[in-house]
Amino acid sequence: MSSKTFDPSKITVEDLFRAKKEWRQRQANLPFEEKIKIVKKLQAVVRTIRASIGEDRDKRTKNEAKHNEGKQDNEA
Amino acid sequence: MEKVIQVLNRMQADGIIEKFAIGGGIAAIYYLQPYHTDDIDVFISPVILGQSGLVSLELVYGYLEKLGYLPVKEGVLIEDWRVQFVPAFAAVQEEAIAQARRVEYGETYTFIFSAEHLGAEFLRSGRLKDQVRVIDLIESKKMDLKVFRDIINRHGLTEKWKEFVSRYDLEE
Repeated sequence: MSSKTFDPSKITVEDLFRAKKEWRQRQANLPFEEKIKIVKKLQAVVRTIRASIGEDRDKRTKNEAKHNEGKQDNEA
Repeated sequence: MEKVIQVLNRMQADGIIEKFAIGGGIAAIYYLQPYHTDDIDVFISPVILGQSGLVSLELVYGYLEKLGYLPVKEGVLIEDWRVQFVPAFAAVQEEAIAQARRVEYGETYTFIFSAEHLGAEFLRSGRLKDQVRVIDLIESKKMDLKVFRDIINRHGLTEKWKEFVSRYDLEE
């Protein structure tokens, strides 16, 4: 959006809700495979956050922890 | 995920599972916007009972272990997905498997709960996050409400639906 058409002072709450709804609809209409790619990215983000706060490590089984640690090494 | 689907199809071809369909979060994502989920819930039918008379996933787990896929938490780690095998106890789950949609994925295909069966199963399950998905499915208009009502009426979920409608101030 260019600065000519975008005026933050004129945005209403209704505009925000409408934009959010439209965004969700666009996301819902993506091909399934594209959606799964997004899920994988979200999983990587959540893994990083969990690792940074030290959560989850104890809750996971050894097999999964080993697998995920390998993945994080690859992503890094 | 394609690899997971290939493994599931191979399990079916090898007679390890008879019928299956994906439900839960991944099925919801098929119809809705993507969100974070860790598991793939694979509903299987018929339910296999072990010698003790309890439900047994021994055959499933044993088969996958031979392929190098090991158990994690309540599921099995296949490639980088935690796959949870859910024996179809409830009649609505069995029907959801029997009437699942055949969906293409890459070079392969799989089966996913219809939006209406998914909504009914979420309603039956009733956890807060499942209730959110029921509302999302309704709002997305991906669910035929007439079909959905028929399913919930046939599977004894009418009272649950009435409570749900009342709690979230929906139109019945």
